[in-house]
Amino acid sequence: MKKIDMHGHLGYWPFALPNCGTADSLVRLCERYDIERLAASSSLALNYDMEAGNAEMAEAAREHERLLMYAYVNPNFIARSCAEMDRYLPEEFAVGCKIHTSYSATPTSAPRMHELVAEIAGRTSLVKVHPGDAADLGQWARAYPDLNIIVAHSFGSNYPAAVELAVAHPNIYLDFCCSHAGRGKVRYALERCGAGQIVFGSDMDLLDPAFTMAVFVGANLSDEERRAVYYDNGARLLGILPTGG
Amino acid sequence: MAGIIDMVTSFGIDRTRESDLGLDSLLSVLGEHEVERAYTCSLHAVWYTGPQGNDETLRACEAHEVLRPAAVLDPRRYFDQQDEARRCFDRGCSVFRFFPHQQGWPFEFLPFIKICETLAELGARAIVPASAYGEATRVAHLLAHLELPVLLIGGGYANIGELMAVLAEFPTMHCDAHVQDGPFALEGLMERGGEDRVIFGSNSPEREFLAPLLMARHAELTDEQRRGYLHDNALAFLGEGAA
Repeated sequence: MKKIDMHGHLGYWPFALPNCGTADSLVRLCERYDIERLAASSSLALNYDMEAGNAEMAEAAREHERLLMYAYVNPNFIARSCAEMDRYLPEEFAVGCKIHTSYSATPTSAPRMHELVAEIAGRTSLVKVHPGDAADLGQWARAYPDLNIIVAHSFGSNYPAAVELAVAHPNIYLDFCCSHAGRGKVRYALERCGAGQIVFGSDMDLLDPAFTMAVFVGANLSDEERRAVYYDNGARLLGILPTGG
Repeated sequence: MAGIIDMVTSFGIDRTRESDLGLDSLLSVLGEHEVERAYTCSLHAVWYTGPQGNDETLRACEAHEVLRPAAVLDPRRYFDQQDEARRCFDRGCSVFRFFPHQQGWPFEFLPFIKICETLAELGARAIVPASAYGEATRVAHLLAHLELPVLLIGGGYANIGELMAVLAEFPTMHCDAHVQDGPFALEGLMERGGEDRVIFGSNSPEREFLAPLLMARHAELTDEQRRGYLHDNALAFLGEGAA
């Protein structure tokens, strides 16, 4: 089944991951798992150099139609982050922003993080947040109803808190990729917030998409749920016509 | 009079704050203090990926005569790090740095030990942090089977006693003193650890170059000991003999 993957990264990680880290390795995984589009951010930008990483990501997205870009922004550098958004978000391949609390050493509660999210909300309708505090995400969801917020990893083993957020806020979306494949969490979410706010995100090529697909396969999705999660919800967020099947 | 050899510098970006850790900043500090030679590494290799960062280091060293490479190896990426060590060594890099605190791996990490075995085979040198209690001891014991000169860096007044003991016990171990701010620290390290095994490092441009330098200038050392600390001990550590 065709998929839209809302959580990927271009670049290297400091782990023993042979044959990973390039646009080619992402495309190869997309082909293997029938992923039509992958929205990704640069691991160089997260780990070290925001501007150089975003430039690499943009170059890859220009070269490979399958790859879409989250512009990575860093609350430690608000002005430079705004410049990055203004540089890339007008591009067709740029679909939103990515923020990361631990790599930027900035919790979601920090004033500078709130300032950055206000800047994001003024420029795009999609942000993916590597989690922080549920109260802050809820505050952003209320303050910026036109901003769709993907909660990367859905707080891991604390997924009930993420599900509660999604129930309370229609612009909160859940992505369940995780380094441990918790059994039952997708069904738990489906029963409470429905399939409309769950997206497929793999975290490739840090993780193999099969690992995350397993939590969806294990949830015994109906055809309708599968189509929503694997394709239609991501398509709606990206402004792609829902043609999955 | 020989100049200063600085074994501990770096350049690059701090992703968590506005800072000036760039190459120009480092070169400015080195020029201001007439440093003869500084071993350096790109922080790109610490925080992102070794090969690209090490290439940046090698390019900087090719462009600036004062700089010498200290390639960064990351044991978390074990599968390609021995090849990376050989690649950098073949390009003239004989000093290698490790960053376990920033990268989050323990010294008892078999990939670290295996990589150090490769460095010993190559005839290289290693720079390893030892700032917390027990770290210098652990590194010394873990690498005791190797003919690998090691520079333990970042120790302060808290673990100076441990450094004295480690240097006295393990002839391959050396230490820097850029965080040694206790009274008579240099004198004590040289007296009890070995006057030929305390080596100057500044951790510029992040840290103030003058801090360890003024400590050296004011320490009650002979001219020979002071020259050893600032210059000759580094040459011996590097296998080049004293100037």
